Amino acid sequence: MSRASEPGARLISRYRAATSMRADQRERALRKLQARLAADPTPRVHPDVALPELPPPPPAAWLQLRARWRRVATISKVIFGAGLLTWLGTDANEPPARVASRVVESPQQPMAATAEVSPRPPTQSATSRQESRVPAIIPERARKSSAAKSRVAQVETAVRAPAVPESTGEQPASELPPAGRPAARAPLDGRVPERGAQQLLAASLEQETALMEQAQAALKRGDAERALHLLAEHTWQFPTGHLAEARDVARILALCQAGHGAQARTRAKSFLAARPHSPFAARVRTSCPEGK
Amino acid sequence: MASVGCRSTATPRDTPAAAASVQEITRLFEQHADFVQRALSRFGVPDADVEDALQEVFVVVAHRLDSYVERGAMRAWLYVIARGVALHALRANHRRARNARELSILPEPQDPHESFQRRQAIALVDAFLAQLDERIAQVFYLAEIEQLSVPEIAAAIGVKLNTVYSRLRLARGHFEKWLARLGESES
Repeated sequence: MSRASEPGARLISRYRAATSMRADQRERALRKLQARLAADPTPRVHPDVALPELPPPPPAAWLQLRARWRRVATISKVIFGAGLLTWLGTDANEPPARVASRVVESPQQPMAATAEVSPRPPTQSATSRQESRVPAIIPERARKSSAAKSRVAQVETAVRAPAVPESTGEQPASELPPAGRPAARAPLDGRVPERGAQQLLAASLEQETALMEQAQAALKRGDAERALHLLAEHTWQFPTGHLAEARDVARILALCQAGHGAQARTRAKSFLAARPHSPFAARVRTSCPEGK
Repeated sequence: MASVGCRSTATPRDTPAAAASVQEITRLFEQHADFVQRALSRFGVPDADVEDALQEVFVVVAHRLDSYVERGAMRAWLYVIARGVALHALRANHRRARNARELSILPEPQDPHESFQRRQAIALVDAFLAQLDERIAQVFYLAEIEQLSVPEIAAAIGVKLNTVYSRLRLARGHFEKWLARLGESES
């Protein structure tokens, strides 16, 4: 494949020079970094995660920017919550790929019913006290879930068929401006196109969802260590993400499965204290019985 | 909420077992600071916040270097971390009004002619990138400006090799056409 032509290469190298730090600035930034590392080596980006010792997966595996990101960007966390709840209620031997479709296919499943439309919690004696206060919250979530239900199937289709060719029609030539002198119109100080930032935020939701799906799949096949790793990755990447609540629930389950019962129960307790009305509350209460 | 590690459950959060040596981080910083700093800018971090974000990226790197398995894709890895940090910064700053002129991390040359040329180069290339679909612009930027290999790009943005190739081909075609038009309009 041909590289840029000579004037293009010259322009690019000038751009590189213009957007590089001066040696003294780099030096100053480095000194600040070293001081920071000496004083407080904990990153601020992910306050709620201790890093796992497992080797990370290749970046490409846990950060798939797939063709479906535009579609997924429109899916709310409620749908995901419904999917997770359904999955949490299903038996452990079912392949993870079936999970989302069960929301549609099997509304009679107790957990699915909770997630979707029923204001009634599953009949568990331990939950009834708390759940009596729930209806005010649940129906609202349930309405959203119902409205979004048909889209769950759409997501599922996207999940099963990720091989949408991305390269077709990506850049119609008409998107280019007519001949002219764009530089004359370009602001000198606004270096970042706003559109790029918005696309980035939308794409991040897709990444977040993909990562959660992987964590679910790991938990599903009994690989709790891997699930914990992925959830830690998720916390690191999306500390205040849309799926933070679902992540907390999944982590409780994974901890329990990995044999850290005490930690799981501690987390479950603080989860319930913070979010007693969560649609996940019932599941969290039964997540890790004593003795596990 | 208490922190939880996968295996090192007894390790307190503030004593990272995997903190890399300062020398190692220094070496990486010297090699890649410009790359990371440009990536942060491209991700939309305001100029005034780039220096802090840059530092944060390398703090994360220090924290996680031991878990990085060498795959010949250090810049791809850095790019992913920069994206995470930039998203964090963007969320924090999303509604904050930006000052028109903020202090920039970038140098301001003394020579007015050189200063003009640099500003022009930035304006031109940014204008070109801004008119492209962001996915194509990203590939062009990584390949032509940062000179990443196609496999590195594929790893950094999580798409298939062929997708990178086709985007790059498109972008280069646009770039040459755009340059030609620029030349015509200047002559």
